[in-house]
Amino acid sequence: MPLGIHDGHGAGAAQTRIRTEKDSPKGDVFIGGSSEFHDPLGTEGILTPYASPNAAAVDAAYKDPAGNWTGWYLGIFGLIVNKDRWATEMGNVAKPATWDDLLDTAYAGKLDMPSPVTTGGGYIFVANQVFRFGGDEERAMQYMTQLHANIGQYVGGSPQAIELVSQGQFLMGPNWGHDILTAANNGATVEFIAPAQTAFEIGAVSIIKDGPNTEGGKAFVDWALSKDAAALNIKLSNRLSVYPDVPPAPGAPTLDQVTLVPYDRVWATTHKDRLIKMWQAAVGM
Amino acid sequence: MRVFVREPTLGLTAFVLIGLMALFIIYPQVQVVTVPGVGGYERFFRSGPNWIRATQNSLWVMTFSTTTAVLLGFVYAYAMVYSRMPWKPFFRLIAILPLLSPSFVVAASYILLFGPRGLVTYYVFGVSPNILGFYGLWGVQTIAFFPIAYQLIADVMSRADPRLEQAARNLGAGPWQVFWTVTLPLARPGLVAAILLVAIYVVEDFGNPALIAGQFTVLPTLAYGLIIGFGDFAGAAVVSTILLGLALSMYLVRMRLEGRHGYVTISGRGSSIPRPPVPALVTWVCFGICLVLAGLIVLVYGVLVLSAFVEAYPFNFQPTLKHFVYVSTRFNSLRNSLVYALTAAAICSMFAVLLAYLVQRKPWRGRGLVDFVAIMPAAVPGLFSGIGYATAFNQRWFDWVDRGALITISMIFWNIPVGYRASLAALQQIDRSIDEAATSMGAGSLRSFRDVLLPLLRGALTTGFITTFVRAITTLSVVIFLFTPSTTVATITIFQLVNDFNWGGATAFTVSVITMAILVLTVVWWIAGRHVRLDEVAGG
Repeated sequence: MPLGIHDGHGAGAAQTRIRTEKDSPKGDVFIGGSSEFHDPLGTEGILTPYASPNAAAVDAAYKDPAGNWTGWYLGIFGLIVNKDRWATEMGNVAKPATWDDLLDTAYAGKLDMPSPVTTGGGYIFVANQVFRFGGDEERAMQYMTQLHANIGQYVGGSPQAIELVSQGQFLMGPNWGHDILTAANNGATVEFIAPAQTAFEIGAVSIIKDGPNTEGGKAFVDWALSKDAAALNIKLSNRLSVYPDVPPAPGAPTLDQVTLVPYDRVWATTHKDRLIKMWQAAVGM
Repeated sequence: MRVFVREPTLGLTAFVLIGLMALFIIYPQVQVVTVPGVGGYERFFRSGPNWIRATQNSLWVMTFSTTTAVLLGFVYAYAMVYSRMPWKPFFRLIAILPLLSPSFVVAASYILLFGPRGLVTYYVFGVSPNILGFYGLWGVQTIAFFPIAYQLIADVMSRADPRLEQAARNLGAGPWQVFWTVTLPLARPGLVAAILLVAIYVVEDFGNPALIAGQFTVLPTLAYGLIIGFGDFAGAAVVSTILLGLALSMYLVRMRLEGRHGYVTISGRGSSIPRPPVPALVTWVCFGICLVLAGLIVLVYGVLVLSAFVEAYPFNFQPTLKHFVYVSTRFNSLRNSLVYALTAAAICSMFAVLLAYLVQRKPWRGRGLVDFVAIMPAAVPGLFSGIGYATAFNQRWFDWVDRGALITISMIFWNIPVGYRASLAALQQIDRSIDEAATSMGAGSLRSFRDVLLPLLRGALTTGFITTFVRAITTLSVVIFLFTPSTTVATITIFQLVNDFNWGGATAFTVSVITMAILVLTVVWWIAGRHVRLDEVAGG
């Protein structure tokens, strides 16, 4: 029996597929994408709880209490800056160190960011602001509205937003740290900055209920949670492993090297639709 | 109905064809339209400004892109048919390219060329325009869709009888006067067809706005965002219904206009008399415009081909074949594309010809309705079709059908109209006495269809085959909700590679798809042994 795997090529698209197929699932495993995309499927009863023997070593903070999904990597959110453009246009000006620094009017139209509607990264950035202002949604929206003046483009996918900064089409933008590192390793003259009070994602893996090959799916999850798979993932994608003893990729920042915002993942997941609609109304999109 | 009682096999054939159309054209569309329920529509329309803005944006970009695409298509067609400019075979070939590749890769190539730090805009002209948004979309759609306008208009122009223009010249009219009073009115059916068809393609275009329109949300991207961002299938269904309404009304306008002007003086056969010469200045202006347009296309595709053969465009220009080695490791998606598209093209073209035969040749009640259902998919946006199939057929009762077969089926029924209309037109030109002779000699209807009419309908079959093949191999929106890991197709793989920073792999895949499409078209062209019409071909 072949194994059906929905990977994180656009976690929203994979989530949509799994929902439309819930009466007759074609996939067994949903791997990749932030836990925010797995959690609602668990609540809707489309996932099967599974406690992999390998999951025992995963910190409880990176696992669903209900057992529907397990974290297998972590990704830090940060800022991508095109070094060439910065040198020619900004010279010796200090690069942004906080999210508030992005509001400088000198950056008008020079930023891009992943769309909060279609990407997990874009939403985590919006939620990040809410937590940064201590849960004050009004102030968070005020920040997003001010930032809107500097955004030249909300891009449909997070990787495309990085690509555009790598090409120099935009000066900088909020995005995933590991993907920024990958772009730099591919030869783009970009660097990763982790502004103060940033957020991180838990990349999850879960098993789809009543899939064609659930046993195979479990075996796959066991493998994905092994240290070998963790090392492979780090090598291929520069992400962080959930296991502290698996060393990070060269140049990849770890959680203790950045200052994190107190990110309430349960709250962020529950209020996702409402917050995105609030943001849409605030910026007029 | 008596015809079917007299010939049960014919009746059975009609029954099967109509049943399949009900299941695969009507049922999925009814699913989409009725999913939200009355309350869902009301809630959605009250929900806020998003859908109003997207509808306005869609109408806005439709007006602009259609105008420029048809204008340029007209000039291109005029230059090809009337002027004596050089390099015509080159221009003919170049105008086919935009029809053969998935539009979102082309949109990415545009950003590399004309973005704020584009090769042309910034490095050549030193300007830094933000093309992401309305202007970028306008430009990309103009280039993407002008070839369709060109094909349609050139086809009508080349069939116009040169004797009319000769006569006007002999009677003392100047070149200008001939153009306004003879050439333009004769091209009118082509222009009308081009305007309305391009408008439909623009309004249902998903790939280009998804990549290049940014915050300029149009109806297809709004529907996509509703599904991906909120899992709001009902909302997306309402948006798709608005889209369907727009496309359908344009299609009906086109049908009416074409029907009314069906008597326009087009003889259907070319005349051997040469066209009156156009002034040298006009020829050179035509040449200049074609050169600019063709140059743009060469640039866009040049970037693609270059990216496919270097290490990491635009950072490392070391020549390499590694991206094609990569393509060979994911060969199954290319093979799936080829198999599904060829199967769909073969079945779709046969289905369309047989259906046209039943509607045009046999008197039976209800054929008017069948005729309408057969042309309806032309007005169905690809995204609408994809959502409809996902909702209707991702169900237990349909599990016995292989997913690859489901993708093929969606391609078949989405593409019926072109082959069907080509067959209708061809049948109207074949005298009934020819097949009646066969039946009076004792042949059954189906036998006379197979042995007498089918050989005469080769042109219509070819048109249906090629259109279906090209549209099937380039579509993303129809398959994006249907593919599974083992039934993935090339457009899906390209989409994923673009998302994975593998620009080299994505462009190598695109080059492979284009090469494959050209090979298939060459083989078909060689077998059909006639001029292949490419009008109405475009990915959705």
